[in-house]
Amino acid sequence: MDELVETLKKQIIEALSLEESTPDDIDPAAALFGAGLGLDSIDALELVVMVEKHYGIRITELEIGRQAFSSVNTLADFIRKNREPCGESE
Amino acid sequence: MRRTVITACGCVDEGGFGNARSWTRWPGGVPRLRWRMFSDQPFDRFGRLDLLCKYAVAAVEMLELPPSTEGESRPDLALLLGSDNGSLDTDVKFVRSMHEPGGASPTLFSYTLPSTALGEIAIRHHITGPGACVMAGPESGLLALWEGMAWVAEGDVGGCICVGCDAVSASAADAPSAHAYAFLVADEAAVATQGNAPLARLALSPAPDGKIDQTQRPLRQLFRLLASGGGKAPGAALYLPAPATLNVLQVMTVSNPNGRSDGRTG
Amino acid sequence: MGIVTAAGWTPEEVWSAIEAEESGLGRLTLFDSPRCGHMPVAQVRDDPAARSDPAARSDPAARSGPAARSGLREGSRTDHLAVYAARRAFSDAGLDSFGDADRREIGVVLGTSTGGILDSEGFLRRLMLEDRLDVSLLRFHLCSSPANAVAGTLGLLGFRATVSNACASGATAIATACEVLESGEAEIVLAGGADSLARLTLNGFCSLLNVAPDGCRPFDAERAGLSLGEGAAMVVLESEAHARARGARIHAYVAGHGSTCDAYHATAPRPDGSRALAAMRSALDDAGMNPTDVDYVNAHGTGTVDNDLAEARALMQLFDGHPPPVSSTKRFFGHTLAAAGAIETVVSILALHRQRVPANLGLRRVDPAMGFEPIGHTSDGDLTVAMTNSFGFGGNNCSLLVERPTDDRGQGT
Repeated sequence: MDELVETLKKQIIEALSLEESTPDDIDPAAALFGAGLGLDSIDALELVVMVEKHYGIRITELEIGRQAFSSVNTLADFIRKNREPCGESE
Repeated sequence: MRRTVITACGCVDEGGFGNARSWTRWPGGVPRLRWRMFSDQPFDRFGRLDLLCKYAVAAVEMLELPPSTEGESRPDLALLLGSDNGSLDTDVKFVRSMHEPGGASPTLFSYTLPSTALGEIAIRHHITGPGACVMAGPESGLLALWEGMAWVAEGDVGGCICVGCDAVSASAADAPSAHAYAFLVADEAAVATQGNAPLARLALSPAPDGKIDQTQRPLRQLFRLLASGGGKAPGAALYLPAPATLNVLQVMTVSNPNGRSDGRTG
Repeated sequence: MGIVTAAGWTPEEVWSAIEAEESGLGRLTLFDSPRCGHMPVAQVRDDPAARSDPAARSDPAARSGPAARSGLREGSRTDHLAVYAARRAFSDAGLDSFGDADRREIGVVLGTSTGGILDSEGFLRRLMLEDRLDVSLLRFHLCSSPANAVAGTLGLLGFRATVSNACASGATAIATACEVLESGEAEIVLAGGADSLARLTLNGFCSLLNVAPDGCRPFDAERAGLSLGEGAAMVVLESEAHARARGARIHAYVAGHGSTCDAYHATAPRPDGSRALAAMRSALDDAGMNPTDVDYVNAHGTGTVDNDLAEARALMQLFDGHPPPVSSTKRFFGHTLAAAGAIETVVSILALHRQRVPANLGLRRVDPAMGFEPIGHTSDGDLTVAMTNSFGFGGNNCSLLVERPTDDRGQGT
């Protein structure tokens, strides 16, 4: 079990108030946007805030964000690549 | 001026929730609202609404509007929301979010406007007629009802959903102070041709000789009357005061839809 | 009419800015904002009239802002902007001579979205960062405060309501006031909108990536978002019979109004503009007019990618591909949110008086997707009827039609 992926699932649920979802409901490889969770463009912006809040990474270009948010797995990869060497997720 | 009737009512408050058909008391204190309490239709978005929107949307759900689809929008239906505190609950949460790392929450931002509740109701029920959120102190919900009745009576729209809603939570741990009452006000003649039975008729009349009961919220009084079937009792069942901001000397009478149009016993 | 914006404190000053094509956008100095402070905003600067005011000379910076010029003893910034504009409109309508009894019957309908939030932010900041409660900062928080301040200052006890319809509030307030007059609930109603800059709104719009770093450019091919503004505008609405009976000067008629809801998304407009179109049609029906009767459209035109495109589609449909002169004046005043509909109504009336179409300031190259060319420079026009549109978050759309006094229908302002 990938701890970062599991933590991200919980953080996404909290950040987007997905009250009816549990971490088990989110397939880490599945697309986050479009079908499935029903997220929209404002949710993408909310995830930008979430990433900065928990990992200190500031996404300044939408295109970078769009690719990072394809799925929970791609987001975990993005965070691993970009966060500060000694940074810990909350 | 058309004659107006109320055809449906809905309530979510500290006591429980329901409509003219049924009432469910909260078993313990007021719980966190969950969509499945109000409907078995799917509505995944509910959990993402802010507190004000949840209460307003749930109360409107109690009206049991006929289902509609995207292609069948309702331009002839209006929406009025009256709220004293408006988006105060989310305003505070949003300002807190501004001070957190990562900055302000964009999803919270759209809820820092009480008119967003109108938008959420409109989106869910495909209501595309006029709408407004009015704020005039504690009588805001009552003002929404008066304005809705005027819109229908003057023929501007065929029907108006009037919602009085206030929802503020002191903290995440405490139960919120929240209530929402929704009423569907419609043109009596149109309702009759559809073969529906209204719950009560609304009319304006001079103030009665007796005092009006000011001890309860007027919209709660109205809801309880309609839910108990009291709107069909003979004579004028209830007098609702005019909000002070209207500066009129009349009252709104709630009476038997089959009685005399002046609301007096007949 | 009364108006206060970043581009001027009187109708004459506002119009001078329009003729000079001078934007009211500038640097934010009202508060600090590490994340968003670099964005140009239309902040109400000091009142030039204060320069000649002896009381202002002792402390110019403190004595010439809205708080000093409103005549209101205490209130939020939005309260001060609202009261300033209301008092100017009241005087302009010749109502200063009205005694208590007559004032009691006058109504107030005011649109606002921020209310006292600028001060309330201070309360929360103090609480969160310093653990201190300063409830004095909360006194003017509620959205109903500006309407109460206006009514209280002028002694008005008629119908009173605050309309909170996001960016459509100012226009909706005027439409609501018309309904109050039509129903006979009042003979005179003060109506309009007011909003101040606030950290909440600036941070909020920035979080939506909706704010243009080089200022809004409505309908432009490279438009990058809105520019936030603040201000207030109030008009005195009166039934024509009543106005003529007391010899009041009639600036314009509100010929019609129409309101609809998009029922689409909390913040994005319906892309096909169909409900915005319906609001415009509804206003024309209300006025008994055809699209060909409209000589000028003051567009909502915030400069966001989505709004301008949806609005353009609606305009092209309404006018069958050939709209009359169209301009958005948002680069002059910024997007003043709830005040916008009212400010733009006043600007439209000024345009009718002067027979001049205001420039769509900020336009360099129109986006070909619009299908029409907004008016690039303030220029002559043959104007009898103007349409002004306001489309708000939550999908509330409001369209107003104002008409130059050449015939005797409708209501006066």
